[in-house]
Amino acid sequence: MLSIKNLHVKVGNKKILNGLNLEIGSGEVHAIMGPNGSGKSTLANVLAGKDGYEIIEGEIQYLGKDLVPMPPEERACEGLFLAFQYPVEIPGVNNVYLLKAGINAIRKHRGLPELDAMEFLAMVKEKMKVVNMKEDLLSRAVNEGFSGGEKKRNEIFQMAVLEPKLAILDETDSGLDIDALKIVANGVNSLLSKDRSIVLVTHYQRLLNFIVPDQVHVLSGGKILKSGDKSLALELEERGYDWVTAEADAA
Amino acid sequence: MSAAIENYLSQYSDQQNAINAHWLNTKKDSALQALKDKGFPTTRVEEWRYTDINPILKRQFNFILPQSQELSVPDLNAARIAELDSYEMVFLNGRFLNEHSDLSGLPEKIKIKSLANAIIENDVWVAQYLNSLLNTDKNGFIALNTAFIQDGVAIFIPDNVELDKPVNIIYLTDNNDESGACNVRNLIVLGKNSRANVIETYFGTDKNEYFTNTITEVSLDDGASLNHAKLQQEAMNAYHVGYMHVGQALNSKFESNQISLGSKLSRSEIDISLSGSGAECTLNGLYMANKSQHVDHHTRVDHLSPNTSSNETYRGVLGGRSRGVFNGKIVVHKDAQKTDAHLTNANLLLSGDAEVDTKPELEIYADDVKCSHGATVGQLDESMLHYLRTRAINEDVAKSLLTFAFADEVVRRINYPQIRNRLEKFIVGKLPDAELITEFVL
Repeated sequence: MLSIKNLHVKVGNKKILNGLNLEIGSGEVHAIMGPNGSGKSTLANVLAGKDGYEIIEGEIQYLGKDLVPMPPEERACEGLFLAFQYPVEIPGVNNVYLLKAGINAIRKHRGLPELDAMEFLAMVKEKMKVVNMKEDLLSRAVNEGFSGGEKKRNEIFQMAVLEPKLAILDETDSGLDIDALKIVANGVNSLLSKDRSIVLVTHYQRLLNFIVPDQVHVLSGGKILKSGDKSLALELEERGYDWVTAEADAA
Repeated sequence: MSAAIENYLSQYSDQQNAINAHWLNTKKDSALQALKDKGFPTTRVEEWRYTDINPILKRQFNFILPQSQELSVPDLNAARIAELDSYEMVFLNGRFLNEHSDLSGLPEKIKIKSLANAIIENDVWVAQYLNSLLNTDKNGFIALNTAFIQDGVAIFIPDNVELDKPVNIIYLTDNNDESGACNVRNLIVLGKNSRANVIETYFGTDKNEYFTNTITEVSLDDGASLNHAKLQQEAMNAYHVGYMHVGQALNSKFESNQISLGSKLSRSEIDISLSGSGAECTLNGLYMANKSQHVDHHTRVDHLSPNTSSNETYRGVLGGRSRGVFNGKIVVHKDAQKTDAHLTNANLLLSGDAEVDTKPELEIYADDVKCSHGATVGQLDESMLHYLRTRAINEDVAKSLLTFAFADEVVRRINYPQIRNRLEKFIVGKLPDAELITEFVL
């Protein structure tokens, strides 16, 4: 699904990623953990195609295609989705219309007929159940006046509608209380399938109690220092990150 | 004396027999004298520094109204606001067309008529209020307009009356005659605690060049409330100069929505005098220009009494090689304690060749006031653009969408959905890749 080899990225003059390698297979759930400033959000943004990140070395293959030259909208059409850490408010752009345009752009890209208003609405109603979205949020402008929790739910709702093949969830758990976290985690779990891979970028092990990863990676200083199964997350929770860094330095 | 003024002087005597009233002729004569004495403003005058009016002056516009003319119904329908239930007044090239207007059902005590008819019928209130509030010497265009007063709309609402439907005034210019000028003069007088909605649409067809010079004078008595919209959708080869003066008494309310989309060179100016304490005004404005359009908005709010408030929001969208000018001035006079005044102007530049000169100004002579002002000039928000693109919206569509949303913030403040719908269609039409977002936003 996703293959990242020796990725070096800088933002402005600052080098953030330093030879990152990552392989994600179809249907797998990966967690990327790491201390602040380790490059987690940079990785998420690079994958989504945000401007301002310069790839100076390495390659990213997504479904056998070179991801690097693709503009963000083409990545979305190819089934890549980023749930933002801080979803932006867009006054004047309606939530539902955004989704309708998005889903139809994706369908067109795949050679499928566009959904008409009725089909689309029926589909949206169904998907709202995934994260208990309140109906009035639908008709509002994108994220405008949403609470922190509502914004995060809206991201997962969008994911449910757009049905990506690879979803990157950038700190979707941050700022959520335990009830909201459960709703979001249940939503994500209901979207797991053998054709869909998920990358959870997170600080805390807490989320991984609800969404169980196949692999856990420790990102620090711009590269993956250690990978393991879900028990690694528990160990990190207990011991912090320093021992991983020390281990890597010794090697 | 400039050739332009000589041209206007030579036309002056020809229009005298159109409508004739002694009190009016006196006003016209003195306006003509003011024009002769002071002439037209140049870019050396601060108020006109960024707007060169020479393209208007060097053309020989003709202020004499055509005697008979044929109205094109498709043109009129294009200028109309669809599905709006209103008292509708239709003008063609500056002349009132009774047969195309609809004032049926108007309560008898309310006067809504063409200014020419009001003058001919010797309506006392017209003589009393016309040209009474504004300063004819302010600039040459106001003097010119006054010297050539011929037609327009006169509205008089007595005390304690609420007008049941909006007054929808359509100034259609088809200008089959070359270089015609459209001289419009409106007078709106609201008595104590009366309420009204008035819409002025300026709409033209792209045949010959023409020039609209329009003034609307408004007097709001104690507790009166006027909601006003001016939709400037002139033809793209037209020139438009508009002035509005609003005098507000005790606790009166005024809301203005000025939208400028058309015209190759336009200037719209509004002066508000908050004379009575507790008077409030809200000014919303949107200007959108592309190609080589030049659009200028000047506003001035004078807080003259205590507890007055003003809230002003103007937005501009400038593409192509267009040029925008915004100047918003708030003056808080020394007796106007507890004034609450806020002004913002935000501009979006869609191309590297577009330009805007914006200047919000605040002059405060009282010490217990709450005032703010600010202006921004920028491009589209990168993080919004990126967000939309990650949701599979292509870059061009995302840009148009965000531009539309920026402009629509102003349009959404207008209280009639019929007007909002109409404007949104025209706004989309002015955006690059309009067809890509039509389905999306309309």
